Amino acid sequence: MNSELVNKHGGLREDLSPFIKEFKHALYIIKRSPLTLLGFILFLIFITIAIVAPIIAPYDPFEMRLSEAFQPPSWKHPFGTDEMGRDILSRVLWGSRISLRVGVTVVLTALCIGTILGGIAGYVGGVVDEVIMRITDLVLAFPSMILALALAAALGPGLNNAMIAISVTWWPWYARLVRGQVLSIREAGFVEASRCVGASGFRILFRHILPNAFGPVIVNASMDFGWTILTAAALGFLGIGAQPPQPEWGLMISVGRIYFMDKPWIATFPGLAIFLVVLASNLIGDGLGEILNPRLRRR
Amino acid sequence: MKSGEDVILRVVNLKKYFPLGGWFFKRRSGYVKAVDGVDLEIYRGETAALVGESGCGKTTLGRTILRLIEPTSGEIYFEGVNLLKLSKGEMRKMRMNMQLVQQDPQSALDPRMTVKASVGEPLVVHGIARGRELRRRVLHLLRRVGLGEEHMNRFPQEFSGGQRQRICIARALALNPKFIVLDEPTSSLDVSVQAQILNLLKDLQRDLGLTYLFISHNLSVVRYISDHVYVMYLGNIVEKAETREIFKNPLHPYTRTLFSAVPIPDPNLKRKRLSIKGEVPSAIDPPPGCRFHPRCPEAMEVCSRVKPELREVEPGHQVACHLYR
Repeated sequence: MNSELVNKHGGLREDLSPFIKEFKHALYIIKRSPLTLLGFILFLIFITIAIVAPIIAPYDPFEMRLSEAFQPPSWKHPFGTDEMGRDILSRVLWGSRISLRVGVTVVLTALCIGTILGGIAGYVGGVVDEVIMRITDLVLAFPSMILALALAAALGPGLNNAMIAISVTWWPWYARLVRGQVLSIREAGFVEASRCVGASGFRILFRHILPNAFGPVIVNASMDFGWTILTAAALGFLGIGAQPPQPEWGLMISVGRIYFMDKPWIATFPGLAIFLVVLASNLIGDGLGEILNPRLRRR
Repeated sequence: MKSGEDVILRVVNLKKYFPLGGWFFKRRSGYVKAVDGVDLEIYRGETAALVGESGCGKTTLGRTILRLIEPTSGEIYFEGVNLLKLSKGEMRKMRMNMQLVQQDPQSALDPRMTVKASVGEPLVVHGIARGRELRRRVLHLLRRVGLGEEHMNRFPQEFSGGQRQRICIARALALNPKFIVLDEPTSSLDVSVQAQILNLLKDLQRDLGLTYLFISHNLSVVRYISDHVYVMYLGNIVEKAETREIFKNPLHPYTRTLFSAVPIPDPNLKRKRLSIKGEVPSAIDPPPGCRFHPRCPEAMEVCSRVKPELREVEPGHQVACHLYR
């Protein structure tokens, strides 16, 4: 009889049920807050565009037609054309791929380095903590934009080097955040309980401490996604990020700036694209803060 | 009572000093002597209660016995094995025999784990059960503490305090331990729920032959559940006796004042309220001699010089006080 019971209720479906419940809760919060919903919609549009850009872009983003240079927005070129006669809509659409790559790579790199170092610092403590955190302070003490500029310039211009430079200036924030989280969670009752049960330090760190520390980290990451794109655009704007003729938004603004007074569309549309992506990432960050807080769940 | 002479846990001269001040830049400025030379003997199948006011080191002592805090010095024998001599790996195995139920069930359960995962964790950690078998065992444990199948896949924040404490007890039982440290398991619960949990603990003890170290400051609870009582003051054990004996005949001046504070449910009963002056002295720089002497109503000259040892004054009744010798 007992085995029947197990057969009926055991198995994969039951193991998944708490996660399905979690997912439903996330949907509920998203539905309740229109701004979060807007953020997710904008972000989904952004991702979709990045994926299908080669299909939906009306023109080749690199193709120059000098005879069609500086055309204002029209039905033929909805966002107009730039100084080389390239279609700006196509370039903005293609630019989303670069931005997506920058955002994902930089945030993931910074998050991984920061989480590992911050996690170790907080969990081990003592001398290790002291050493890691002083290095972190060292990097943070330097104005991040200037450090990124200097690094990118030293590594040589180019998008990949810009991404490396931004990652290097970005991880200390995660190290600090994770360390603080780990320090407080390390003292929680369930960590002691787990230790008492005989769990290894590895298991405690990865199964108990880090998952509980991750809420604020994810929130931070989703906001940083926008900021790193903005920083990469700034480096592009200053000439040490993406190089021409890449359809990078910051670079496009940089070129469009020269003609801004009489041909504003060249800089405006890439600028709008950056604005919308950064906005989306911030709105999602706020929403996630609520979704990921277990204490706010179901009362 | 049923205790016999079978000692399951013996603690000898256990000390835990927490250093004050930090590392590198700061100088070490002293020690908090949270546990300062404690001897305990707990018999198999009994409940030993550890009572004392907040900050006297009860919790630290409980944690140190389980080696969740490394002691500064001393010996802890569990069934004759000195725990402090065990390697990390051996200690991990040893933990199957000794468990902890914490004071605050709010924080004792990982908010990101389902009840099934939390209760099953000990079994997974020691590689005892997985999959269906794990589920079957967890269900059995939950039923044991009065919960059911429908609770398995919920998260801790969906439960009340009493239910959470039941979950914690189920987790503590998962490895079939012989000895459980109960660190004020009922102090954060309502009175009615407290009674339920206490009865559950009693039933479990009877059915599974468990030994408890029950840490509490609630003397009515202690009287109800325990066989022996240890009274702790500022890192020292000042008195030890069987529960009935100590409630009837408290000897140490501290125990007497402590026990005179227990409310008696009889409005007509008049009795002398003993009270002591002042605060608990700091454990950083404890007073010399008997630690209680600055507050003791019967302090003598010798008390400030010589620290009294725990001494048997009546059969089974030990007290550390210069009044009895």
